Amino acid sequence: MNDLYDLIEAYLNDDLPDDQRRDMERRMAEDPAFREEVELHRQLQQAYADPGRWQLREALAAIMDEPVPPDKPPPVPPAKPNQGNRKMWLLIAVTLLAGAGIWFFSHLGAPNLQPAGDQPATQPKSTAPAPAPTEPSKNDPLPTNRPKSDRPIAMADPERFVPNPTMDAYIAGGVRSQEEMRAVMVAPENNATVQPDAQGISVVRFAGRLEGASPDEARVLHLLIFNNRDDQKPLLTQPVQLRTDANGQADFETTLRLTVPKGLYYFRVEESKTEEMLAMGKFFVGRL
Amino acid sequence: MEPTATMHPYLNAVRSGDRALLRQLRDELYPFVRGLVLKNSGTEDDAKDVFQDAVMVVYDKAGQAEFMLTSRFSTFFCGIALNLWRSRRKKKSNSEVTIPEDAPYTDDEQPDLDFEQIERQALFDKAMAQLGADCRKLLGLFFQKKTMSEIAENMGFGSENYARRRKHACKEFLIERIRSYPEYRELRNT
Repeated sequence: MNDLYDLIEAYLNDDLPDDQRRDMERRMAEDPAFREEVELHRQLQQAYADPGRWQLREALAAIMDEPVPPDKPPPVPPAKPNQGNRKMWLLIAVTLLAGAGIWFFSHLGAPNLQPAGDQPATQPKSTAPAPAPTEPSKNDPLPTNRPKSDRPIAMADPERFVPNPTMDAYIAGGVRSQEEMRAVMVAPENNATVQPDAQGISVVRFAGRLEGASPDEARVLHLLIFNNRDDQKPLLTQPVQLRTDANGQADFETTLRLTVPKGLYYFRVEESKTEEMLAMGKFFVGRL
Repeated sequence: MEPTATMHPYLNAVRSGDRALLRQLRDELYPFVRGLVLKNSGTEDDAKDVFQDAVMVVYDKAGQAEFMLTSRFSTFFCGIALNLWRSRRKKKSNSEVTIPEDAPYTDDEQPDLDFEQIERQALFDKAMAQLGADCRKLLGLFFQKKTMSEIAENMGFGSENYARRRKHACKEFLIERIRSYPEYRELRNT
């Protein structure tokens, strides 16, 4: 075996005289098992030529065996690693933790979704009996009677960004009602990202036009907002009035002020009476 | 490529092996990988493998001279992990991972992944981990093209000849381990 390894290594290092190199290549061409042996040595040589690679693998193996602190908030990557003052980073970490704690106790809760316009949002259809909807108020955007959630809003939970295959299938397949009506969305753009403001409020404008509807019939649409987990229970159902312009074009528009955790959200536009789906889309509040 | 100050902190961490930042990377992005794998019939160990292999892919990508991170690091990383797990699931049970193609992690920034190369490297690493620390160190020096004289000196061996014999024994063991894995035969057949 030593001779064979020496021969292969000399060949791979280009240390063989021409006649021996030709013999090697002839043998490789005729003998698949020998060719595989040489190839394996070559792959190993390539795989471990960089010592940093294996060192990283060892470091990772050790780190993955360490227990992950429960409920540890995700830290913010420093802009310049290896140059930081440890005390400074400790101070920043403590400040961030304190901030997260304050945020947790003062802002936490179920998603708060509020229309910025005049119409109050209705509660999810499947939730009954429901408390009276909160009247939107810019002065008091965050009601205090919200249930506790398990995570601060400031934390981006990767699970909230996982796409929902059912709702994505509706988006990919297109939507058209039995009456051949459909809502063409102008805003938000599909996959749009809305950044929450300093208070955690994300303002999202929904606008579009209704196609294929009889202009004579008065209609009200419903805008439903879902998180990425449940395509049955909307977080909010918001009536949206249609406005018909001089050309007979039926448009709709509403703006919502959402206080929701960062994540992927879906919206659906329905005809209010028949509950037929007219449009479906998705948007992100923040990003991972 | 040596880490530079202009690289993303996590790219620097991966290239330099900075354990503190690697822990931070784990805390931030492992939950996504774990959730993805567990929701798609995988185990905790599968999730750890995918996470580590994704980091290794980042290491390789970041080492390429032409590499530029043009998206968020999390998007880049989650895209790699998602595609790795999708590839493994497909190979294992021919089943799809229930995340659609238009997932936010597979955007235009998503690099092409050479799954065969990634799986081969993971297999080699798995076999390498079975070796004793001395063997790993010796083979590491050998693959870095150190001479037998340098290896003998570094390892504290009495002679080059002994270093050569130990190198052969370690390499033979490594190759036997690699060949013992069924995945190696699958890789050879692809």
